[in-house]
Amino acid sequence: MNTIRSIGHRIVSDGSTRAAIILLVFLAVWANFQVGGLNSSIISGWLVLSLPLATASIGVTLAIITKQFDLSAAGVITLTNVLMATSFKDMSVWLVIILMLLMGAAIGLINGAFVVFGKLPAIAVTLATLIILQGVALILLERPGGSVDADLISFVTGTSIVPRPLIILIVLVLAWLIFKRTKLGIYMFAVGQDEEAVHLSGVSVRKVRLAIFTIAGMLYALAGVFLSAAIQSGDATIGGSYLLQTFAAIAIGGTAFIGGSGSAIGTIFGALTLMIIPKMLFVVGISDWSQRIFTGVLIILAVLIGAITAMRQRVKLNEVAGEMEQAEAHQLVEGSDR
Amino acid sequence: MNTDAAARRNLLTSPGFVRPVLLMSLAIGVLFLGRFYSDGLPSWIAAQAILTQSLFVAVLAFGQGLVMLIGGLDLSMPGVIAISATIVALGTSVWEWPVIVAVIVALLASAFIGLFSGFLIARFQIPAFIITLAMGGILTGLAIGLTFGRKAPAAPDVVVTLFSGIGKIFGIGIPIFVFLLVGVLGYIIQAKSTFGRQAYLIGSSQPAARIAGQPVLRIEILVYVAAALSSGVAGIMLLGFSGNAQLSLGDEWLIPAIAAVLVGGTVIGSGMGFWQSTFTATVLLTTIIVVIQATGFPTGVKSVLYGVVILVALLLTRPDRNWRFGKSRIPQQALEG
Amino acid sequence: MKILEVSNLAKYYGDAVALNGSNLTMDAGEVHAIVGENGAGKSTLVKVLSGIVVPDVGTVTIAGEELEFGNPRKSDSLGLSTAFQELSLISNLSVAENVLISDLPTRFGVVTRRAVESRAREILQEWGVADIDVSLKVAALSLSAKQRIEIVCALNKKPKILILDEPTAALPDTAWLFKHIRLMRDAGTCVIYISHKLAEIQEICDRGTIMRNGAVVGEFQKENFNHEEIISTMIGRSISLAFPAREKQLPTEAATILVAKDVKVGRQVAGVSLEVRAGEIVGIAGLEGQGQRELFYALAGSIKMTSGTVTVDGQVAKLKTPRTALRSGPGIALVPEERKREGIFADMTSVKNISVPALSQFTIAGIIRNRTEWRLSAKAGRENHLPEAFLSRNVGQLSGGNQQKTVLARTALAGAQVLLMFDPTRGIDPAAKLEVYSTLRKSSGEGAGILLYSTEIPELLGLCDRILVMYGGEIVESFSSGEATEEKIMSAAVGRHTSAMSPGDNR
Repeated sequence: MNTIRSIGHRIVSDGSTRAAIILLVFLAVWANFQVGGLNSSIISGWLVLSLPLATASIGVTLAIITKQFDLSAAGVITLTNVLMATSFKDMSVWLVIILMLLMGAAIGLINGAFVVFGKLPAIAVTLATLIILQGVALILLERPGGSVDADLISFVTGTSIVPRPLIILIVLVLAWLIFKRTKLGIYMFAVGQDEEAVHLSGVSVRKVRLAIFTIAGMLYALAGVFLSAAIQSGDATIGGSYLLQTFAAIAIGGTAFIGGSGSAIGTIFGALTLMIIPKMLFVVGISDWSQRIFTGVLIILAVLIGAITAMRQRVKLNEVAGEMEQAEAHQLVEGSDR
Repeated sequence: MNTDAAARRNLLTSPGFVRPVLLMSLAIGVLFLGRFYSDGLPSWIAAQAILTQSLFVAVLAFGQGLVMLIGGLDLSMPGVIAISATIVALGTSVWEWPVIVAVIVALLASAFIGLFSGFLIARFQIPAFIITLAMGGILTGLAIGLTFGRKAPAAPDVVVTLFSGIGKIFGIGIPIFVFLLVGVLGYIIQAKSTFGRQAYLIGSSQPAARIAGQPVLRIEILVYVAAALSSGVAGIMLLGFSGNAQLSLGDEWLIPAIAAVLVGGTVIGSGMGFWQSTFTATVLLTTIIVVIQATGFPTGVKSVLYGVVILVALLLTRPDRNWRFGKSRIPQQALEG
Repeated sequence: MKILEVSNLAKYYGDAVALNGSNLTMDAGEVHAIVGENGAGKSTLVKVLSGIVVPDVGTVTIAGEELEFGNPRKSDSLGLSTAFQELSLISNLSVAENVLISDLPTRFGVVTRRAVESRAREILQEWGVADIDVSLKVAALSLSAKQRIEIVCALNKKPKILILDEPTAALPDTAWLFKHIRLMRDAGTCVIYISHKLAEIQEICDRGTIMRNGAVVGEFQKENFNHEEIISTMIGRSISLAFPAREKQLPTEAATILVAKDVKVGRQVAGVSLEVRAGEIVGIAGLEGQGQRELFYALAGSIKMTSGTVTVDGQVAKLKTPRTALRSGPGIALVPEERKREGIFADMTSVKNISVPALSQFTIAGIIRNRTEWRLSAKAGRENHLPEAFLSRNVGQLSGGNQQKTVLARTALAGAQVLLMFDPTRGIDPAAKLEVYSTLRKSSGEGAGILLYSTEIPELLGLCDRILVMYGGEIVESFSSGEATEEKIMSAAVGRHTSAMSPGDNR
């Protein structure tokens, strides 16, 4: 019993649990008010739209854990989408996907190089890359159009027993859990917490940062692939909202922005929540401009709850640490005999 | 102590002096580069256009700069701009308020918005970007609601005259004078006022500021009020510049404002940054935009150029060695030990 | 062959000299102290050896091989490991992960908790610190546990040269450390011991090097150890070790300026009552973690008091924030524990650091008058023995001693009459310490009531009119300056107090 509980506790850190609960509440509201109830295709539609955001946000989460802002996600997504819709038509779509992932990795690596070797702040570099990538996408595809391979579309948006996007999300969760326990994963958390200490212990901070940027880039490209399957065409302006939405997803998901901590699972919940809000509001009867207002209010409430619980936790931790020092002193006294 | 010569040398090599000079030189350089694309460049007309547009970025960059000094990011700017512009436009055209009243209401509303956001951020330690992001959405929604059914309300004539370049003094557009005024005011507030100093203090070390008796909560909230006021002011100016209160009025100005603060060398959340650097960075960035516009390239190419030039500017104006990104926990202890 | 040869090492930061042609050699199998004021070059030397800093001139040879500078991994590969004064542990990782950070055991690419923790447990067992739970995150450890882990990480590399930088700053009991130092020395390691605590050095070190102004200026051996001589070589002039004496006797009718009744803070402070009179210096003694920090910070308004009353000059003190505390009557000011995090504004100049509480005094209509600010800060700095040259430097670049002086100068400007000083001389060199003591004396002479927490009992004995010992969150013993001795204080600090005194008694 205990192991199940501790496993459960380990899988979902507090921030993620909160995010899950919020999501469940919204899901319940949506299900309740949706005319005819939630059927598989409605849920699938929601999941398909959430998938790209979730994937991209995971990449941004990795950067956030290392205490850096990566703004370029939207750019990579857009570029990937445009390329998938217009180019490489004579290649197998799966090969194209691999190509896109490599491209995403390369872009991430370039970002990382500017930060690590150019010694520039990540937020500034990725802002510039974002602008450049959006420009390139616009050059390649001035107006929305193009088409996406049908096989890909059915793969991503289809349903076996369970909607495909859900399966993909579960795969991402598993990948995250494993990644956390790899050397790179551990170093990622360490670097975000205390770069100098990591450097002193002989681990190459540079390599860690470069690796994280590269993986993030790949995830953005993957998100672009999913997006292409979702909207089934190319649009050079589609990525625009992703800039703010990825960060919103992360914040709702409970990840703190101080570096050294964070959870892709929470982020996934955050992305799902963000995508469910408009649907939930719609069925409740709120649409148009009031939807914007309610969305904003809900986001504020979500992070507010998170902040208040976090504050309470911090107080408890300080008490524990204080107690530890007292306990140690007690030990010393019991042990010594002056 | 050291002689005046040494003091002067100290000033001339300090980042607060070198960087703005460097940025202005780059701006002038870029302007002259424009000759390759347009015979109209460089010219006084172009310079005036640059300074006029710089005004809006500068006003926003002032607020954003203060916020970034204390470690936050204000993403509500487009929303506040929209609301402020809508209030003034609606107020004067539909509700028949005198212009001055509409302006005051708009500014009060902006200040209140900043107060609200700042309170949530400071009191509950919630990251600024998410609160301001959400607020921005709420405000845009409100703006739509206020103008519901109508097309974008028109700007009052006074405001248009002031900020669209129609009004001139000695043949120079009024916005340019306002731009210089913003430069001076910004410096006075950020570098010379108690409030500015307090912002630097809590940016440098919130715990130390608290223990030293600074009213940290109050200062933090005031920073967000200042940022919201900047947005509110910018909204009114942009209203005059464009003629009516479109909802998307502020959208294109957020990123240039952030870019200006970054290129100006402010390090987020560290208490390190100079207004004069941010100010000159706005000129540089606007010059770049204007020159790129003159090239006549398609939009995509313009974006690419813009991004590339920002990268180049960042590389060229890298802060000097004492300012390391991601502050070293083990400090240089340069002079001793 | 010498295990370590440092030849003509020099490092300049602009026009400031950190190392000025240092030469020294060390043998294998010795415990070698390095002493010197801050600014003498010790820390820079450590940084050069560990690969953090690249010198401008000079060479370092370890066991015959030349050291490649600026790379911690190179230093490590030549057999040099360091336990840093500023602990280099990663707080969001577990103890086990920290100990094995550069050598994490993997199975199919994954680092299993079980593998890393069991291996870490073995290591802690080997070094006699098995009482620390390896699965805990470092953030949850006490300061002394962290220090021990830091040292174990360095010891575990079985280095040829082991550098210990102020290793006992947070260790209440040095026996464990000294035992292992001796073991390592006997096995051939050269242990470089950097400390300000001459008593410890006398006990554990075979010989030592004295540095001043970036160069080696003297040596000593265990046999001819002479405190006064070493200190005077360190600072280049001879000084008396004595604490500055009281200028005038404390008047018996001196008013009580601070009264704390039954203060409780969370679970750390269990009901403390004390009084401080104007002009009095009251010392708090005790092992770390007995509630001193919580007591001080609560009295200063920095953390929340669970219950109890505090009055200053007869009026109830408003302790909601440090700001209100500073403004309660004669004012309560805190000199905080962690200089770097809570004491200084590292990226701002000394002038701006010092002037903080007096903002209203040099602003007109909200605008800062630079010259007035300078004058105010310079005066306060002068009174606190801060060299004028450092006024325009960023405080982050100053030594610990000078940083503390800016903090004290700022506190002086705040004008509070109740001063809560939390271990103000931790990690600062002897000369600076004396300057801090004279500042304390001066303040008390001017009528301030001072509550002083120190981990160095001689300091308390030399400065305080009364000494209160804290244990388990309570005051367990109280001595006047006449009756206090080191043994009595230590005895009370470890929990043995006379039955006549029950915790919580008023002084």
